[in-house]
Amino acid sequence: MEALTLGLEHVGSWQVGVAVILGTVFGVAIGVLPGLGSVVGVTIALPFTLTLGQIPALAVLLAIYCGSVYGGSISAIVINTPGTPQAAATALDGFPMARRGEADRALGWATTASLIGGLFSVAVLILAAPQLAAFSLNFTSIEYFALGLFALICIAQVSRGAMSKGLLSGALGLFVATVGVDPVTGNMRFTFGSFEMSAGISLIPAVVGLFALSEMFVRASEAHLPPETAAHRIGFRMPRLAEWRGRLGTLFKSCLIGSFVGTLPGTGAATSAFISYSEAKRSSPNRDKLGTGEPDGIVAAESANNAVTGSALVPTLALGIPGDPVTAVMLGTLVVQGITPGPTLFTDQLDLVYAIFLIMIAVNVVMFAVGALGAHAFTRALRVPEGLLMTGVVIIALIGAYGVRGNKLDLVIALAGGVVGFVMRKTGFPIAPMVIGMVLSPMIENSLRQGLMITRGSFLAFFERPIALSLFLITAALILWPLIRWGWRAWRARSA
Amino acid sequence: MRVSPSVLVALVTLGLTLGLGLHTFADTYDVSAATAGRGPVFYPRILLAVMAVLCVVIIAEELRAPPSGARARTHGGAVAAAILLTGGYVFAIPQIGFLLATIPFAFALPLVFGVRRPWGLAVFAVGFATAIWYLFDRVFQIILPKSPWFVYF
Repeated sequence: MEALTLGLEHVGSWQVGVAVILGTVFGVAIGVLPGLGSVVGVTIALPFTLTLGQIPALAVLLAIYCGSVYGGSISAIVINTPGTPQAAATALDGFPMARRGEADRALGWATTASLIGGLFSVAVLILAAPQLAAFSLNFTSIEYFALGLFALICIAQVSRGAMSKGLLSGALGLFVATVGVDPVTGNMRFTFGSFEMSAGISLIPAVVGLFALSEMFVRASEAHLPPETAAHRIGFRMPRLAEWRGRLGTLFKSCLIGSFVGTLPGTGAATSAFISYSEAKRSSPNRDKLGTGEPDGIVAAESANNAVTGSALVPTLALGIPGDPVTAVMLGTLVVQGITPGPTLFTDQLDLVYAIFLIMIAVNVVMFAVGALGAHAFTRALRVPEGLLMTGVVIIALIGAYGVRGNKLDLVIALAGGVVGFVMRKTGFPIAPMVIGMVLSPMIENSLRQGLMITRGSFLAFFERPIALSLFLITAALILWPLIRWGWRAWRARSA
Repeated sequence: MRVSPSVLVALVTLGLTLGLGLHTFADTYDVSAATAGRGPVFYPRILLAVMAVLCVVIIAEELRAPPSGARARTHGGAVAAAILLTGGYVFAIPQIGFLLATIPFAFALPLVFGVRRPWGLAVFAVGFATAIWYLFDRVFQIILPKSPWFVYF
């Protein structure tokens, strides 16, 4: 109770209020602009968060995260170009509605479904995170090693492109994080005599390069065609209560799908939106009209993608394991702010955990108000010339890269990350596993070496613990999945 | 036989992996006696081995795959210009300070994207760079690199 009161006190300050409102407005604007997305949004905000206290900094990041997931739906509906991949499924019914002159109604459905999905996921976060944190107190370094490996393989598995490319990207991230001082022996690794490199390759400059700079390079490399627009009645019209009849089942199911998918590492809001949309297409009473401008499609996609935002924080806060690149960057920022996510967060800083829950509720309510009042204004952001927009993004993101440590080498790391990210994106190597690999590497290495100390150097003893063994088996199944599928198909073909 | 860009990336990564793998046998890392063989490069060596295997798998997959269809057009000149400009900017910031480096960068980068209004760009470059510098350096107190010629910026 005392922790809850403290949490309320944290959130009750005017700084947090301003952070939530400005963060949400900025997040929605970033979400509206095609290609930028949640990671770039959070990255741009980094230099601002360095100057804020713990709670306002958290509020800004959470607001940008939730706001950007919702914001993508505005451009998906108005110009048929999803601002973020998470909103791709929204365009399937949103844009046909806009072409019929019902953009305001489509935005109303999207905003309301986003609010409900977001609040649902906060409830999941409140219920599940403390349980998971309490359960994980029984974990030894062996379970953490198995968990880290499992998370990385999940992310590599579901990343776009071939699985082997995802795995290489993840392994590269794990390796990059080993540069610098060895935490056990204190020896320098892969610094090649450079004093600056002894501090290692920091996550934030690498993320700035891999996402923000590479996005600018990719855009410079592509010719852009003017998007198709629907210029009718861009505004906001709340769906009537009677219109929800027959759609509550889809809404509830989509919230459940989004919340479940969000807790799995690597899957994210885009996956949940498409799974939920497919489910609506299978089971909705209006399934025949889906794809032609049916609100059920918007409800399914938007409630599911926003239902990911809270549940994705469950493993991040409870275990210190990020579910996607956005939560990975947030995790890095939390560490900069002196907060260490993991089970001890729930025992040592419970007030902070409550503050996060309350901020998430506030962010979703503010997101609804911002969407309802400003949908029309946000579409104006689409008129900013791309050259000016990308210049602004790069300059602010580089300040973020430099500002964390004040180290000039971080600017070079960001540039190198930009070039590497550009090459990876152009050749079909996913970037997300690399970032997650960088975050998980210290945990995986320390738990591996500590685990070997516990078992006196025996790898086999790692498989004697039931939780670790289960995780190893699932991880092995994920890696061998293409082989299993090939074998299954071959067997079916032979028996047919 | 046409080698795909993915194969090139995998080959370069494989080369780097093998080079770094050899580097782990340097004398500086030879503390295995004190760490029961699990010294500073124990974990990196596992990663490098996994990376090498994955590179070989990717090369094999790419060589076996049928040639892909039409590729999206890439404006190599624009990318090269953007990378060179950003590289120049990154190296100029510590030398001449954030503000003086940002103004020409904010003017030149939009040109790569096809913005062709020099006066408008000049106003944007000076205005945006100054506003951002003032906001972060003066208001938020994030100390940005200064030029060797002026006290404030």
